[in-house]
Amino acid sequence: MVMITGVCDKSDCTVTETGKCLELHGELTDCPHFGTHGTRPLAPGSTEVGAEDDDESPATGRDPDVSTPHSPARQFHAGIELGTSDAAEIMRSRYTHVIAILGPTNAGKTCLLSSLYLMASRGDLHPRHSFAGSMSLQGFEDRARRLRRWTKGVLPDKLSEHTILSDPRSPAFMHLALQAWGVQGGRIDLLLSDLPGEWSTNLIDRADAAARFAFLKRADGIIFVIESQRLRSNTERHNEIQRAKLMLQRLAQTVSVNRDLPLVFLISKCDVGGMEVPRGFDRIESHAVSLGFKPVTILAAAFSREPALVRSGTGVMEAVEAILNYEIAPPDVTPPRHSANPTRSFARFQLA
Amino acid sequence: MAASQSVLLIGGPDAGKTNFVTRIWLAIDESKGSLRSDGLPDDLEYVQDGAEKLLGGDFVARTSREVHHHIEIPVQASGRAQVRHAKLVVPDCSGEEWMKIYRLREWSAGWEEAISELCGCLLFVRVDSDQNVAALDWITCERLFGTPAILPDISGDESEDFKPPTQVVLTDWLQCLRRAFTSRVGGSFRPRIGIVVAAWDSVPAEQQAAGPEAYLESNYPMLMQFIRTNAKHFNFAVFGVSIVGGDLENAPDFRRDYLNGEQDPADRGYVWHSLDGRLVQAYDLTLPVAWAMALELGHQVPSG
Repeated sequence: MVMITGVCDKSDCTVTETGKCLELHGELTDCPHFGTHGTRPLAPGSTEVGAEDDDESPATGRDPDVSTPHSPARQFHAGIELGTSDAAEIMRSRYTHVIAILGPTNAGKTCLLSSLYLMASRGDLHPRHSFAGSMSLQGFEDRARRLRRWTKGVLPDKLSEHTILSDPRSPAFMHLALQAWGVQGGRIDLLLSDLPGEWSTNLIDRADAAARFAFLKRADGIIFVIESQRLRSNTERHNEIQRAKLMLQRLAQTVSVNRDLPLVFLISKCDVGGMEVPRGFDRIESHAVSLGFKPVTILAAAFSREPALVRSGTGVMEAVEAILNYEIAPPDVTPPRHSANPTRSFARFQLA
Repeated sequence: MAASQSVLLIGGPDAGKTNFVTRIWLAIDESKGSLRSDGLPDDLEYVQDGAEKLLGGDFVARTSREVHHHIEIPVQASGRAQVRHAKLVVPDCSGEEWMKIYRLREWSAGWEEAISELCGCLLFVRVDSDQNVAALDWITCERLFGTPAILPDISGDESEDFKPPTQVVLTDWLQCLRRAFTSRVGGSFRPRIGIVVAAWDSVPAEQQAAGPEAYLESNYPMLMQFIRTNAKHFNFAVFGVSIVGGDLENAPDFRRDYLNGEQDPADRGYVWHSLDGRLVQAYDLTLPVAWAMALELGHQVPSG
């Protein structure tokens, strides 16, 4: 991703996004249309450069000054993802559900986000939910098309505070607002973490990586993505189980995650395995229970390779709903028992 | 003194904005609809150039990227009790300019100052425009891209060709407008946003009968869901608009009848809407603009 800070006056020049000047200037300083104004990063909604100070009453209905169409007076939300301060803007205005999506590289975290977005985009969340908005629309679209990828090499070591258009993909949040029908209030704002898999790996390896996960203290739930194919591989299964168990231990003991926080095991890419719980998963689940968690397990196929047999998006919204609908067990209720071969632990979780 | 009310025409390239504003001028000049002429505009050149093309049997060419116009038309509207006078101010710019706002996430002081309690908006999407970009769907994802897990890396050249889906851009513009109205006017102000489905005559008859909202539901589901779930923040209405009632470019029989038939070209065209709760076909082309100005059906002009 090319990062250019500045603005070009040419309406069809994409130099800030592509690095290529429409007029083929080698140095941007040579281009008469390029300037460095208007690049101030701003939070969503905070925005004017002098507009509020303009004494012209907004009620005069003046027509736009079309002679100076390119002088930026307002910068909108970047739309690619939300840093912590961007997210705080939304959280200040209404209750927002923060959902942490954790898991190693290639577990299927981005697929989960993209699948959820595609369902919203296609109207497939109906009839229980409808799309109600997103401050990271472009970011969702880019992820679904795999245009927004982690930069190879050094990854940021903390959550982005504030995102601007020219930023590469950075650890941050994606925003999705839904309208839940038949529910009082109805609107649900979700902030879904978008973290590199390396963060999960690093947390296993080093306790000092725990600071990155401080946001879990505010989280409404965790979706822990586990790739089914690794558990089905004889050569990968045991390592996968051990690392998942260590990750859970870090979350419980190093990050000090509240054990009553909803924890969803989302087993990804289950379309390949006939939508069955892979062998060995019960060891991960029982370890979570032994640590005090009350996990829910959901089998998922974010993008099905067998669409005739398993619908794409299977399990994705169910994982979100498992967190939204979670009821904290009263102290005298025994956590649900895990089974050696659970078919759909979400159903088992219903407390009497 | 007549209040100056602005109506922002928002839409990407080839969305139908320029032909619409040209046809509106003809309708106001004819003084048969909700908005009637209240004297000639000082500067007639832009709309009159377009009107001559339209009356000559041709659609108006798309607005050039570099050209920005603003049209001021004195209008009057008959309310329940009195005649109200207003000046309709319609800035018109190319769809590329709006796409630039989407891409760069900013707009100029000119647009900023247009946002007021006397500002309504019309958001355009044109049926069958080759500029429309379909949303990514499951089938496309499965057939063309494979599953995301096995997608190849997108090269830089391919990513430059990527055009965002039309419904994503339209929804994003609405969210940006909400931000601007909240900041400029207040969070409780519900701006009037009319969604104009242009070239409504291109929609198959059975789909026309279901109305423009059903069309949006089928073709732009995310946009339509956003409209339905944000009634608290916007005052939305959806219009299916055909400015002449047919296709002057690709239907020679229609064009012949348009030029030689009994009906005056300035009387052609129609608007489908559900402003009073039931779907109707109206022949008042000024209705979407009058609605955006809160001047239709006896609505009062906000004091200015």
